[in-house]
Amino acid sequence: MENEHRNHDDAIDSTLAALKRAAPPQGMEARILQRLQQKPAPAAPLRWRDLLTGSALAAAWWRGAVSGAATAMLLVGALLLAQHSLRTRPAHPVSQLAAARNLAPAVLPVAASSPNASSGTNPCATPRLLRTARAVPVYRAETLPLASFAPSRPAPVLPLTAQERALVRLARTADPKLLASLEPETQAKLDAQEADDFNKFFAPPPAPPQPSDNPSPTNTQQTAPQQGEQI
Amino acid sequence: MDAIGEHSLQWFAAERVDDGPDLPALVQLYSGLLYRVALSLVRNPSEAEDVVQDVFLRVLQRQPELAAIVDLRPWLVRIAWNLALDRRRRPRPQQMDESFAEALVSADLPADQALDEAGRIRRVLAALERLPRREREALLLSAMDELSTAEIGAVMRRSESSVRSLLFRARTRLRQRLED
Repeated sequence: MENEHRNHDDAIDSTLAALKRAAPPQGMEARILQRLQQKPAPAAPLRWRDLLTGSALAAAWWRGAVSGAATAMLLVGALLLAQHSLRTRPAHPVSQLAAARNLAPAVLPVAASSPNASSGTNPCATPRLLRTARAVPVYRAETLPLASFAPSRPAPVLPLTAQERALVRLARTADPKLLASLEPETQAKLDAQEADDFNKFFAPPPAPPQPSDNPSPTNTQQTAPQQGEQI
Repeated sequence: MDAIGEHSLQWFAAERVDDGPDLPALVQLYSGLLYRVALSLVRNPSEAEDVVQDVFLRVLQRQPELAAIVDLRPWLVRIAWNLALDRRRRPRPQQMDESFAEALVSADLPADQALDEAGRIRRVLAALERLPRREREALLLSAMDELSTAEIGAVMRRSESSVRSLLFRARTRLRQRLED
């Protein structure tokens, strides 16, 4: 058993030793190098540093063309940026707005000079008038930016008042006849028609026939005794 | 180096892109080791040579990165090992193993002993095939004298103690297989 065990170990060792001893075939290195020579060497990755210094580019005119194009692109970019900033600049710069704020209307009490004010007819409680003195800034056309001459934008739509809202609601829901009555002319027509109708309805009764000039005496004589008889 | 030829050396000197290792020097230094590593797996001399050639082609493709590689030998062995594993997956005839075993026998032995030795080697190689993959790899790599246990661990991406454990188990299992 021990002997067999050793035999197996020897077999393993001899196999591993045989693998260890295996020599490469003759001329393998030369063949490998020849094969590698046939393969083109991989192109080195182009670096930005090389591009900028021009070491990766063979000809000098290439370097000039690339640098010229890059400079032109930079100039165009700077120009576009400047134009963009001019367009987006606010019409009134911050310094101008601050100056306008300083020129806000000041409320100054001024003594009334008119004779009416001193008399007791003035309903105001105070005998003096409040007059606002506004210092209007004077702008010269040549100093104003171009955007100042642009047409002003319409004011934003204000919310409706309560009366306006009621009117809108009425216009949507009310009777058209009622709505028409809101116009003074229509209202006047309606009033006139109503008065006309009233007058037609309550027209005065027809006038009684006029008595003739020669009334018959018989009728009067006959009626008088009847009245006396009844009494 | 005479076999390499002067023109090859000049060409590589001109083609060197970076300050990495010289490729002809790498071929001279590591081709033998890589050949043995590949041969232990593919068991065919011409295929093993192809593997070595492919390894250096890969090196040529990645020559700018060579300077950054700290330990070159395990890196090359790992490339050769993986390439050989790829080739091993291809089907190969049974008689290739027999001729390989005969080629491994020392030429100094007499014919009858050589035949006996070839039979033993063939049996060991067959038992090696049936070992678990990690144990087989550790055992085959340990056959290379140039590789230390740490370097085998670097090739297999295992720790040194793990490689030792794999080697012990591989030998024990292989002995048991041979006794069966």
